[in-house]
Amino acid sequence: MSVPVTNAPEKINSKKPIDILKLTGILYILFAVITAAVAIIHVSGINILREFMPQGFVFLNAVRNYALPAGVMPYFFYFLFIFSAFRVFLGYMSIKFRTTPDKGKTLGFLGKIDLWIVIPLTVFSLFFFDGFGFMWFPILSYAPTMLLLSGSAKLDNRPGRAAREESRTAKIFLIPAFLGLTFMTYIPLTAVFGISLFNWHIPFAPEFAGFRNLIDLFSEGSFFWGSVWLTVIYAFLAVFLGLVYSMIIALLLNRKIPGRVFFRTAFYLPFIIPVVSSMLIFRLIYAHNGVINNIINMFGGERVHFLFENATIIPAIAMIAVWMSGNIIVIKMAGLANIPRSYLESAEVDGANAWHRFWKITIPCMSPIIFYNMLMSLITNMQVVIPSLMLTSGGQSGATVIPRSFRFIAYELYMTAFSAGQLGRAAAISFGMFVLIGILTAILFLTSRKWLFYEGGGPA
Amino acid sequence: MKKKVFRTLALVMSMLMLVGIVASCAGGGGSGDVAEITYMFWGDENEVREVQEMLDAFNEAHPHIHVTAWPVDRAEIATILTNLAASGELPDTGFMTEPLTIGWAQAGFIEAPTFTGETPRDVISFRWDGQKVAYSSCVVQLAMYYDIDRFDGAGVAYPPKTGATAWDWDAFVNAAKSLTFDVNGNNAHSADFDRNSVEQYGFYLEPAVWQLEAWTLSNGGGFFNPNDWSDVIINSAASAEAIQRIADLHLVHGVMPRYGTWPADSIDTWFLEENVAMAINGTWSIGVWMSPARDNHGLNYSVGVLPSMGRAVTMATAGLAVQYAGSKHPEAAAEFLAWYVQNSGHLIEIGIWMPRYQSMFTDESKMDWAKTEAYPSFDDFRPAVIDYSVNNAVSAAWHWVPNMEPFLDELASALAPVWSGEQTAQEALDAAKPALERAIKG
Repeated sequence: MSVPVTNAPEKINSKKPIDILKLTGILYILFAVITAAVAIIHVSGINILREFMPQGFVFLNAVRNYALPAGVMPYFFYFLFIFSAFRVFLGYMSIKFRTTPDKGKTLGFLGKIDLWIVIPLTVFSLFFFDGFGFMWFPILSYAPTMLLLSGSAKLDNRPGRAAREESRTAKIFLIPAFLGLTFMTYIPLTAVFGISLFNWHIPFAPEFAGFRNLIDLFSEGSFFWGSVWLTVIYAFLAVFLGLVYSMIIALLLNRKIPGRVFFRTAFYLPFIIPVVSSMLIFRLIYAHNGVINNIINMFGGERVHFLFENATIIPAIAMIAVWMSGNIIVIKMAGLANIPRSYLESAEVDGANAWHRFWKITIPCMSPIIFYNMLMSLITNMQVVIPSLMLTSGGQSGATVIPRSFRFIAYELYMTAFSAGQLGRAAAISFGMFVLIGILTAILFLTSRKWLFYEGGGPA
Repeated sequence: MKKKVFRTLALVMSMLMLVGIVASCAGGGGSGDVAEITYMFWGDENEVREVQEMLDAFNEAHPHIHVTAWPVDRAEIATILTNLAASGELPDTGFMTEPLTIGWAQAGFIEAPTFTGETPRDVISFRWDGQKVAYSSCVVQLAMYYDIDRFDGAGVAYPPKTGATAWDWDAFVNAAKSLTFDVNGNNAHSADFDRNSVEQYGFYLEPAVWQLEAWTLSNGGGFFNPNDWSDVIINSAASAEAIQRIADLHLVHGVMPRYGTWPADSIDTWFLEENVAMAINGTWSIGVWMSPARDNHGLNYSVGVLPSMGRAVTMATAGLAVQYAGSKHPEAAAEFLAWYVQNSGHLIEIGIWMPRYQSMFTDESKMDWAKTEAYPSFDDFRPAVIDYSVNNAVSAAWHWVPNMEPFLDELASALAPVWSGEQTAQEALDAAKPALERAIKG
């Protein structure tokens, strides 16, 4: 939204601007509403969280446990609630009576309260409540939020009213995304790091262990590097083959061929089939008496245990990832359609053959899209776990034969958490994985400067 | 206007907080005189319906207790319990998997069982620290299933029915060879036998590594030192030899497909589609797979005892219903559990469970449970399962060793190259020993 400054200054003046403080207040209100609703539902006997509790939804668990008088020191929680309500009240009063001319200062002050009171309390509770205190990270995460908001509030004072209006609107629209990021990404991320500091062997109570889990991960005899190596090989294979395959298919589908719509659909379809069904299908295809082996056998070859031989597992499941890359094909097709025809035509006039046109024009013009696809599929494939779980398990009593080469890092993480019940160690693996993917992404970004070509100069 | 909205919001928030606090403080009082408890279990649609019917019957007969069914996915049980334990929301009662039991008992999450009548058999007790911390809800053990028609067709004598007369390993391999045929009709004894195009295998073993313990024990080894569970002896010569023998069934003799490579999930498919003459599986398969296959597809099967590598053993184990600690109504939970196990008769009737009391295995007058239509002929079943159970059954390791799940997970990976012949069992187990020890110590 952009409001011209000169058009209706009176109208704008007549409005009480929505202050950033109010936004913060709304955040807290939402938090309070959720908690209160949960409490009411719980007390009324409908155990809605138990029925619908998604696995690993730590936040709801935290709310349920600490907002309800289920266990340890609920009053502490209420104290923090009253405290946040007090802050909302404070903010409201400061607007009403305009006691502070610089609102940024007020917010900065609140941020400091967070920094010096809420964070120490959180850290304190971390050690105090049998180690379950990390559940306080939801509260902790408000501190940086506040500091962030106070920073942007200060910025608000500089430009004109219209810009302020605009940034205000932007912030309102950012709230849902912001909430999602906070609760689904930042809190779990911080919590994972917190849990990784504990020796938490379910069903035993957690004990603080410092960095032992992380150190153990990198120590000798640990599965970690083996799994990482395996995952990296798989990811690179899947990404590389996926890029080549999708490029070829996209080039073919961009031509005016008969039944183009049908083929487009056909190649996109694997992407929307539920992964678990795809895996089941491939389990049958790769089986000892499956399609591929029957064909091999028909020509007199020896049957291959695709999913049991170390040499064939990685390529076999990389092929599944390639087969499922329908979304990449669609993005590539859109990219191809965006290459200015004039480039190709003038190159043709200059005598460039098809190969030159592809290599010198199509590929550079497509490089931002290739980069995006590479980044996304690298991140996705580094987290591969479904093939390990789907292609090996089976039998009445969880009967499985799991070769080493099926133990991707995410699989180790899953097994550590939910088979061995070692939540602390699992969190450490998770954290290690996060750092690893971060490093790979950074490498990709750094090298991209060498080969990335933006038509028209690139992003600012 | 905005101010008003904001003020209203603030008011609503305060109200909600107040209500939340007041309501929370008022909570926990329970709802009247009826003890509300939960029962967590897993099963397919039919089982869920059956359990619900049982709970309805219980609730009707016990007006002071109300049990709510809490069905979960079996594969997810560890995940779910882990989450619930982390948040202090364990069910009052529920089914438990064997590998988790000792650890959960050790951590104090399982109430010790009490019995008014006969105590269940020792072989299904879970033992920790000199205490019996839990008992399986039934007895199930490994048995040798065989297809009578295929044996008759090949002219091979049926598997023996008693521990004393069990096949030794060579006799077993011989029989399996006589029952393995390639597409040209040559059996595995023949010089022309083509092991790459086998039509019917003599034998198949479910790729569940916990069952391998039976072979190691039979050969005089084992997974763990019986006097000290933390002493892993799986790489002892006897244990490694036993596991190598299993691998050699495929690698050397060609009488079994490579361990773990069949996609079929259940034993009835092995018999009906994958073409196998004998297979070892738990006795639960009588009710779950074999008898339905017999009734619906005409599978003509019976049971025998496992081959012996020296000591005739079968492995007994079963899931268990437990009372979780922290229940608000422990008495009600205990009462329900006792009733539940007592009234699970239909599971025995249809051949999935066997009773858990010694007298029902030794006293002929109490053996009517094994004479229903679901079971194979009593003449075979009595010696090959009932008497065999009394004389030869040993508890699977998770009855007295904690952390079995990561151990078995580690073991499954360590043995993968053994099944493919890349490593010998001795090499693989020697190499894996430190990891196995780490896993078992948790």
